[in-house]
Amino acid sequence: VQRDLVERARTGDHDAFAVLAGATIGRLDAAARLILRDPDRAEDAVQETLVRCWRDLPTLRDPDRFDAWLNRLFLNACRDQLRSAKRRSIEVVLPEIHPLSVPDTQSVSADRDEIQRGVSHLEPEQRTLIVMHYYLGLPLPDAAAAIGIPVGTAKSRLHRATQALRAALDSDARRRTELTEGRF
Amino acid sequence: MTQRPDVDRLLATWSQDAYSPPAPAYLTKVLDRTRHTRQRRAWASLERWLPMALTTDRPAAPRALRPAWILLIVVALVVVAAGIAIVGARLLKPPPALPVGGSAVLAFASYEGDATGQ
Repeated sequence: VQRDLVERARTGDHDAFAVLAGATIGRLDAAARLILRDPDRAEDAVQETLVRCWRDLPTLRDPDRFDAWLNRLFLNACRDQLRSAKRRSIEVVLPEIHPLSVPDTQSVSADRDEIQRGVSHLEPEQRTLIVMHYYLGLPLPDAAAAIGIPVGTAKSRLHRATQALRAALDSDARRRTELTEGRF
Repeated sequence: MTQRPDVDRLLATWSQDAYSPPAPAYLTKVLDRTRHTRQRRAWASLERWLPMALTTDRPAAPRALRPAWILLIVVALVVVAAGIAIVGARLLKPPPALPVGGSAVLAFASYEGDATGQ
């Protein structure tokens, strides 16, 4: 189905593109919020990604590579946002990671909230790799290629990111325990 | 007692989580922008002509290397320009004032006349 939509969008069918965009924008938006930690910048990055996607779609030769190609556009847009944020030296306020998801007792949702809280404490490079690999589901070589680093570097970065994530979640859990035990 | 979170399990759950967040409100804004954006011609892109693996899979050059590449290109251009200048200067050398090689007639004139006193 996706291949057919990509084929049609590539030849200028905007309705087909609207279906494609509708199917991908939610996940891209969530990934951008995780990477950029700023809803406005996330929106800018996703808008830029989809506009470039529509504009350059006729240049995509292999419709089966649409996801990899879109991820690369997305990563470039996020990088642009990170660079401009660095240039302007803006102190980014940590937003609620997933405003659309309400905290609930279901374990998967609780796990998702917990991991997303942890990811928000990582360095931008680590966040980017973790989100590309675990959230967007890119195999490590593909994530490394999209980011522009050798696979070996990606492996060691992922290892360090996982360690940092473990430390962040540990400290989060300690804080929660202290709160429930009324130490504050 | 603090229960330590199992990061590996959390990451595995996260990667298999099929939950797809709903489309954000700005989807209509994006579609409005794309509706008024012209698509590029397929042939107008370099990516159209390069192998797909080159354009999507190849890791980009490390950022630190880019200035080095630029410097290398500038040096190469300077060397080529200097080479052209040297060769060109030799080619455009003005011809010698006197004929070189074979016989030639040299004409002399003197205000004092010749040896006969005429």
